[in-house]
Amino acid sequence: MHSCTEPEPVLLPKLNFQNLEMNLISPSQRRFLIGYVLLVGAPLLGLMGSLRVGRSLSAPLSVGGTWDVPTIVISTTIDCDKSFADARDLAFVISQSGKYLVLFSSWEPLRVGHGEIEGRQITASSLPFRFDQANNNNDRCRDSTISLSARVNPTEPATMTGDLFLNGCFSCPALRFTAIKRPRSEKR
Amino acid sequence: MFDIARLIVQITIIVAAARLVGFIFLKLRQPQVVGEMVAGILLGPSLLGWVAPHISAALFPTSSLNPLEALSQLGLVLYMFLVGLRINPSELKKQGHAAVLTSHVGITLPFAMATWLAIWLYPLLCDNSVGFTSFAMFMGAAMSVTAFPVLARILSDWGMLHTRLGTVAISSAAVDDVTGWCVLAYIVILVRAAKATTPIWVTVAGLLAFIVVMVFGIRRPLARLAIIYERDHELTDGLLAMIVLFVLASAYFMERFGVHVLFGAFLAGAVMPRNEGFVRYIYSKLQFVPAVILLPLFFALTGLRTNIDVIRSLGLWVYCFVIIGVAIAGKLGGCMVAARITGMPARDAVGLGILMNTRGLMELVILNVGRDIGVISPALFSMMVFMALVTTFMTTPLLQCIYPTSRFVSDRVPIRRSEQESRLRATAV
Repeated sequence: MHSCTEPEPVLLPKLNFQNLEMNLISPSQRRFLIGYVLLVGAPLLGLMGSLRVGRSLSAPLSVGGTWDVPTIVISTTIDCDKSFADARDLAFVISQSGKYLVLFSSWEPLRVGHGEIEGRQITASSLPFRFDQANNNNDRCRDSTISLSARVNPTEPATMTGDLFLNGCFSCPALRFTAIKRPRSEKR
Repeated sequence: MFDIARLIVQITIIVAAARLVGFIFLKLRQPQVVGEMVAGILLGPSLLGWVAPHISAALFPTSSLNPLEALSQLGLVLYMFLVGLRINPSELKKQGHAAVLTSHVGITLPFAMATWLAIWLYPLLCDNSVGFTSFAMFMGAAMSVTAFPVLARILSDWGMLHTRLGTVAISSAAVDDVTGWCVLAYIVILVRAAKATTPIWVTVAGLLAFIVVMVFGIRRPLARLAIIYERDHELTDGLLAMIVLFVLASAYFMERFGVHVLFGAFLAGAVMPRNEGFVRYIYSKLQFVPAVILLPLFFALTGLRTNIDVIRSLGLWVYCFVIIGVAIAGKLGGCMVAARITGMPARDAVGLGILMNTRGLMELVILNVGRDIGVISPALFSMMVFMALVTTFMTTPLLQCIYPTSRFVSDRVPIRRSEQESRLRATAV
């Protein structure tokens, strides 16, 4: 039979929260946690932030690859026309690094010229080409580099229309050309 | 037309240059692999093509590079298999606070810093055929990588492999390696899926199914190989051929799933048995040809892709030095601070930062994958290769400054090494 006595009060140990905290997290663990939050958590937030910011950025138009020039419209009255007339299978190869371009032509594959792209406009100077001495007696036009100024139309197949200028030959008018971009394989 | 005579000449020149420059670098107390990397660069347009363009064009015409590339890829496939074979799960599990924080900071901090750097570089050095996310993630992966094999070699040479610093560095680098490859696989899937007709979820599902089959299905039968080795102390030529076929099949399927052959090879290595003697035996059988002949071809092809002349203006050199600065600050600085926070002595914390900053061959592999899938431009590729060389080359001299009295044990023979040390050294080609 149970006696009807009052239950004994449960004695709870007096908690020392300061000691409890010290026991649960040691100073080295606390340092580790703070370090983890600061050095791992913060960069992860930064990473998400940078990906968000970067979404609104735009990069220069892609023009890297080989551009075939099926036709060059040549004025028959200029002094230097024979130099260009042999270049029926002309192609430009553009190696693009953002706005910076490195170009070489099928005329002179071992030497490169440099250019830039701004919007859809490509400019390049000192693009080497082989001057056809045998067919040209004009001493004014012995510079062996050309400049290029062209505008890109990115709709498939991408085309580039512009002018070639023979550097140092003021009597030679610009040569109008249109180039068509070859389809690019994945590996470049 | 395939010209076998030209291929033999090319291989001879490349291997001879790699051994010569590697030997010179050994004398400079640098890992031989750093010299081999430099030899590759010297054979490319940055030196040979610049000094003697006609000789360079005659030796390495573009039309002749396909066989070289195929051989170098085969070498990389075998090498990545060996790297995967070296990944030891026990090294990943036994991490203390220092290794956990160092490895995680060593990934996240340089990764985040690289993505912020990407905001600046994207409009300047990338084009609109690549999305910002792919570009930024790739930069992050490339900045956060640590060259485990070179690191293991340096630690072994300095007699530090079994110190607390060495243990933390090795386990942190192992975590970095695995994470880096996972991130890179994700980027490759992302980039290739954007150009492919297959939906990305099909690629990811196929990839996950393949990994599950490899880890839970094929791993168990492979364990038989270790049992056979323990019984016979060798494997027959037939079994060795089967291992190579397994590596090639894994590489093939991974490529077919839209990832990359190298991940398949890495995975094949990762699911192989971990028996110490078995791993060493496989190394002894499969390491020589990739390490001595095929990897130098990879370095030479990397060199042919690297053109310092592309970095022709002061502005581009500024980008290059900023990239190097961010890479060092993120990796060396981050790991150093992390180690210090966990209570590591200042000198060891600096040493750990220096070691984790070593990028070496792994960086070149990642950069070439990025170049293949078109995520990085030629100029950025050259800058990143330059960064890889600088961060790898600086390791030994900086360690010399931090530990001036430490012994460089490489030239003291004979040295009795532990099993684990021998295995780690073996991977450090």
